Amino acid sequence: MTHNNNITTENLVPEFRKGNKAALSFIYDAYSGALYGILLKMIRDEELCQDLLQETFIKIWKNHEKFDPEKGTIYTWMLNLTRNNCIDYLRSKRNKNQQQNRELDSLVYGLESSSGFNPDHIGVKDMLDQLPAEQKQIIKLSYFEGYTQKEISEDFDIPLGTVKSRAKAAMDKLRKIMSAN
Amino acid sequence: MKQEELNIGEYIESGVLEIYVLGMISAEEKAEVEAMAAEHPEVRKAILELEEALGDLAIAESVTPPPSWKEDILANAFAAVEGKQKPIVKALPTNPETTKTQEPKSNFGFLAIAATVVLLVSLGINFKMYLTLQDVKEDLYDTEMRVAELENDNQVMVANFKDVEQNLAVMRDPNTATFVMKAIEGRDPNYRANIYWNSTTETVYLDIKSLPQAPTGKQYQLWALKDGKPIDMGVFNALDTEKMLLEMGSVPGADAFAVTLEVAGGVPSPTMEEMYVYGEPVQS
Repeated sequence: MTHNNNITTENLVPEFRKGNKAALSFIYDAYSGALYGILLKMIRDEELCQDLLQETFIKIWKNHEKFDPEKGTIYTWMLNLTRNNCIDYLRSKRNKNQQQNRELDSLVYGLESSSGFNPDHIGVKDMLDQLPAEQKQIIKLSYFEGYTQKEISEDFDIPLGTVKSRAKAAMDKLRKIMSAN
Repeated sequence: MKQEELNIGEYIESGVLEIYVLGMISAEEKAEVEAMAAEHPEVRKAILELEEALGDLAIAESVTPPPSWKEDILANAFAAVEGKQKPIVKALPTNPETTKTQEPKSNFGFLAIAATVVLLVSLGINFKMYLTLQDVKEDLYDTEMRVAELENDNQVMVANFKDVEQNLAVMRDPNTATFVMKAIEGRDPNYRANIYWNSTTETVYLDIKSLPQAPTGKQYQLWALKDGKPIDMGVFNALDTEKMLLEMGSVPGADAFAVTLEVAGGVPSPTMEEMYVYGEPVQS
């Protein structure tokens, strides 16, 4: 079987689903930065992020036949795969670290300045800084740390409905910021 | 239809789609959102727009990994998938500096050792518990035997007690007459035996106080004497009444009782020369 080595945005999805290795190489060039960036946001440890990026690409490649273009873009699919793999790791770590670390985390969120939460990675932009603190907290806890609505409500003592309305407000604001960029 | 369209608009605005794309939704609601998205293109579109915003966020915050990683990451991804058909070792020589593909192997080694240790500890505990179980089983067996012994003892004691009770009842019965048989002239004066005769049941009970052991092939025989005639009341041995009265024959009435030494099994009529004890009713 011969594969087309000339991958474009047009033939990427069918070639990827066929298992063309050149498609994975194209994906790496196009999206590894976004995936690595999100990993660094989720876990502030470069070495661990390298391992997780490796794991993510193994999963992306293993599941190439399962990707369904009807359900969304290949990029969103990979983004969620990256996040979910990382969240699995964070959840297992969180289970080990007990409640006190969560409380510490929530305290840190309260003290964060608008200069960015990640001083270890200068150059990592934080667009979320443009959100009000309580909206930023909701997105960070859910999207980057894998907390469920119920967990946020219980652990941070925020009513379920408030978590939902803050999530909506945060996403509305985020869309405005993104379309302005 | 209009009502439904209105509800779809409300649904999109409800915040549930934001909860969904941020990955914080419950499993139940997630299924509901996906069903709605499959049914309603406008829901589907709203979700895609939200996902796009999050995708844009990630692109805006991209961090390009060190260029040297690409080769390894792709090679390991290909090797991991091909490893399903081919042994993973085949991919190793092309990446001698990469240790990642070896990780499952060393992990396995560690897990194998850990599993072995757990197994050995478990076996040790099992063996210890087995020994304890054997001890407990032995103890249980001993206890069961002891209980059986005690039950047996108890049955004997109950039986003995009933006999004693019965003996006492016989002796205390106002209708019982006592005959004290004493040694006849020429015999050891210590020889003695008592007879309790109940006039209601007409039964004769023997209580030997002292008689010598009969020689081999010989037995004592009890006789009731009525109007000068001996009536056979049965044979016995010297120690037969050690523990309780011995129930002999029955007779409607007697003037006296006597014991002779006869051949084992007894004889039809007493040998007068071999009489040991003789007694008439005690006058109360």
